[in-house]
Amino acid sequence: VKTVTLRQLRHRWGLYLLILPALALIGIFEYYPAISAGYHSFYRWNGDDISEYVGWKNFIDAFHDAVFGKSFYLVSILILANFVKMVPSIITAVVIHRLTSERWRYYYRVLFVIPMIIPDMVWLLIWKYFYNPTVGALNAILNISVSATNPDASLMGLLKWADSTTGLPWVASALSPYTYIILAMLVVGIVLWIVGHRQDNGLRWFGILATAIALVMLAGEFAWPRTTGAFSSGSPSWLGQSELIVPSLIFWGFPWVGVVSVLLYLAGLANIGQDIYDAAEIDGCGWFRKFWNIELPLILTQVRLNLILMIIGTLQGWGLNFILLGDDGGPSGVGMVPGLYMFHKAFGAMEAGYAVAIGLVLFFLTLILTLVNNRYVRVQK
Amino acid sequence: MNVVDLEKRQARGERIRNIIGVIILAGAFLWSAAEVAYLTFGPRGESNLLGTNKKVIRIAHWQLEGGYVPGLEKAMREYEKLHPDVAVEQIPIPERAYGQWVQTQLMGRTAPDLIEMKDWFSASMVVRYFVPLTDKIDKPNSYNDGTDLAGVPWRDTYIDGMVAGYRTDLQDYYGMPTSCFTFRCFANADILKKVAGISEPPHDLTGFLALCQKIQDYARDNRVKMVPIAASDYTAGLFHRFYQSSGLYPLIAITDVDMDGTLTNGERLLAEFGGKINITTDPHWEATHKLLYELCRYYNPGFLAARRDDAVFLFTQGNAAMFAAGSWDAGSIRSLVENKFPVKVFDFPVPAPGEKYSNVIKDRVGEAGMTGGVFGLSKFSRNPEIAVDFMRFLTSQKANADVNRAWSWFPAIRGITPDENLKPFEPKVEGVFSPYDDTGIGDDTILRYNQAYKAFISTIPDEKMDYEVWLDKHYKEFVHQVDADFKQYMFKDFETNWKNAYSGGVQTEASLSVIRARAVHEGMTPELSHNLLALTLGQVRRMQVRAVDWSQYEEAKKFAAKDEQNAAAKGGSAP
Repeated sequence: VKTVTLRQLRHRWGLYLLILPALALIGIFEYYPAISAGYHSFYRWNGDDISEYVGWKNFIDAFHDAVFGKSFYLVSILILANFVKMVPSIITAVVIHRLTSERWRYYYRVLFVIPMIIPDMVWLLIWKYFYNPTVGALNAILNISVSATNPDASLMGLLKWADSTTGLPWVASALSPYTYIILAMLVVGIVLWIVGHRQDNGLRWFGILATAIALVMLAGEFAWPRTTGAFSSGSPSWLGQSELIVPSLIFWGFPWVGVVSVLLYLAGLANIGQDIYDAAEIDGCGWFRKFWNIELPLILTQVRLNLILMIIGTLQGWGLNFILLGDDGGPSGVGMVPGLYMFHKAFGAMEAGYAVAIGLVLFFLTLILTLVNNRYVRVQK
Repeated sequence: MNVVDLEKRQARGERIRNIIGVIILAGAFLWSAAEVAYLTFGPRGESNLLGTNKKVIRIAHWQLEGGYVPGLEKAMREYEKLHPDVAVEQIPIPERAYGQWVQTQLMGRTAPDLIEMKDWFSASMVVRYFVPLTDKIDKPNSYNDGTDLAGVPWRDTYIDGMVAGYRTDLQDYYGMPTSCFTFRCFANADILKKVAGISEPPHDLTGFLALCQKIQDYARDNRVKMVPIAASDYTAGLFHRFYQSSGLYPLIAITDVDMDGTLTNGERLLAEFGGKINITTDPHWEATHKLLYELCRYYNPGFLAARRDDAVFLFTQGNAAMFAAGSWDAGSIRSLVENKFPVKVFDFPVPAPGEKYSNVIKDRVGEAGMTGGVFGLSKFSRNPEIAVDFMRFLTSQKANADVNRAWSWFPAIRGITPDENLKPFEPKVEGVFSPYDDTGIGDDTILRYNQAYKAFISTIPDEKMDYEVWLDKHYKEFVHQVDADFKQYMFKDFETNWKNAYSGGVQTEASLSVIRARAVHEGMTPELSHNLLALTLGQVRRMQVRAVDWSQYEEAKKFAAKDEQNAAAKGGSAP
């Protein structure tokens, strides 16, 4: 680190003067609002002339606010879902990277840049149309039946059946018989696993498979604990019914190949030399081992960057939910995320003091998650 | 040319290019800074067009319906012809962003002179940012000279006495209405004929619900994409507004303790905590909300996520048999369905005597006092007198007739013959009237009510249960949730609103001080005296309302404390 002496500073003052406008702008438009938010979070403030000191009340109210608390439940689900949704981008980048033809690799990169020029609003409208219950593509696809006489011989029929079979005792009127079957399957699976393990034979694998399937089905029961009848009409309302809103938000953007993410990963993959692949070939590495031991560790810098951006974006995002569901978060407020609640309080209720307190809670949470990310997601240099 | 010369030349070229870049950047920055400085510190309220000295009036609204913007534009140009020193500009903002836009503009002190007012603008917002107009509306509108309204006080030139401009919670006139609005149902006559074999839509509720069921069955059996009612969260709100007014009107007699025909927040508190109404057992609440639930079964799936335009599209494409809309949509719907199918316009159906729900919903909602399109005068207007004068022009008999003809809307001023197409929208004054509102009294209660209500109407019945039993259970879950939220958040909402409205009153007090100071220094003129009297009277009336409100709040608190004591004595928690 080179230390700049006062003499040098005086000598080169002209150069340092040049950064002043940038510093002033950052100070006015970034730091001043942040400091002002910190200050006003201790006030009953309407964003204008009402300003009454209330101490920690806004923060205490926020921690007791059921709507705010529930919004974190949704945002946690979305962060988990978005974490899983990062995988397709990594796979896509690796597949493009492994193309042997340099020209095709170039074409794919171009193909991934083109969607960047399409405005977000267009994507939003396309997806909204896709989910439209009456004329949308999703319901049309789900309703394609393999039988001309039986409309239930379709994916919609399958969803209808799955919905009708679910039911956990504490939410449904009666325990579904299918829940008994799943529980029985789980017990049998575990028994086979143990027996197979002791006898060291193939039963073990049957046991593992049965246990895994039973656990997945049980998770499904918990995620969808009661029969909703959402699919019974054949045109479920994806964004208008409380049970379907969260799954719709998660499914949004399928197949979840992020344009910027793919380009970032490709940039990282481009740094891996051919000699490493050659050495791996000699060592007998298959396609998966190359991915797991070479490519993934070497693009972990990009993965970590994307992870941080995803967490920040998900925690602070609210625009999509606002446009799709309104500022009350839709039926039962299931689509309410912290950012949307902050917006609602600031511009709907004119409780700007409370809104900035929510903003500060979000800020500290984002900071903690970023620090955890930096500390525990290790990058192999 | 040798290499050194070439390099020098290139370096010089690069330097010149850099200088040009810096000049362009600095020029753009200086131009922007000068523009901002001129707008901020320049002559107040004058045109930002260089070379003109016109006074500028800006008018903001959310009416993007076909015909509104050009209709208003024409009226603005006519006004400018009468006043060559004035320029009028309109700012149309999409409805979804309108509230936030207005609030931001008001807080930033950059708000337009005239702002179309949403009915949810709170008392604290109105008293803080809008000018009371009580002193202005009892003078005649000079633009009516030469008509039968010459010399008539401005307020009395309205068909309803300008009632939409009056804020009962603030005891003053704050708005200037421009049109008159009613709500009606539209029906696709071809579908009615084809599916039900009828040429006129039914006027009774049972017949209406039976028709909806018939259309739904027809669509299912024939596998056609058709729904009985095209709806969005907006149009569903129209049904909600009508039936909650009609079904809950008997409650006003119980809750309106001072019998002034309005319901204050204090009265709502007394009703909720003083045992006047128990919403969990109230038959009016039950019947009204169950009816609203039944209606929602006939809307297009996903109507809560649909926009107003989606519902219009569904109806005008022939994919819905009926559609609810306000008279403001009449013109655009007629033009969209022209040559496609004939449209019948009819009233919201009410139950005939003896029919289901007839014990609660006894009559239609009366349409006296249905003026709307209310514009308020911003406190930050640089030319308030000119802004009000423009509104006088817009609501003069001739201009109001012209502008409403262009908008295909119903005029708000007396003595104007409406367009023949608007006949079905003519206000019908007979019927019930109810200011009782089933939503909350402030942000926390309203937000929670909306969330619970949306969940209530969007849940699909459990096919394994008897429908009536299921609906009863479902309604009970909804109403207990709302009751619990009301109990928990009503006091908080009351306190917030009360405090905020009070600090707005302090601003009015400051305005009064200015008038008094001017009277002391410049001598009392008739105009100052008039303003002083009007503002003082408004302030006194507001103080009176606030004092009564507070005493009702105190009373309700005592009831709540007693409930808690009783519950504690029984070993449980307060209801």
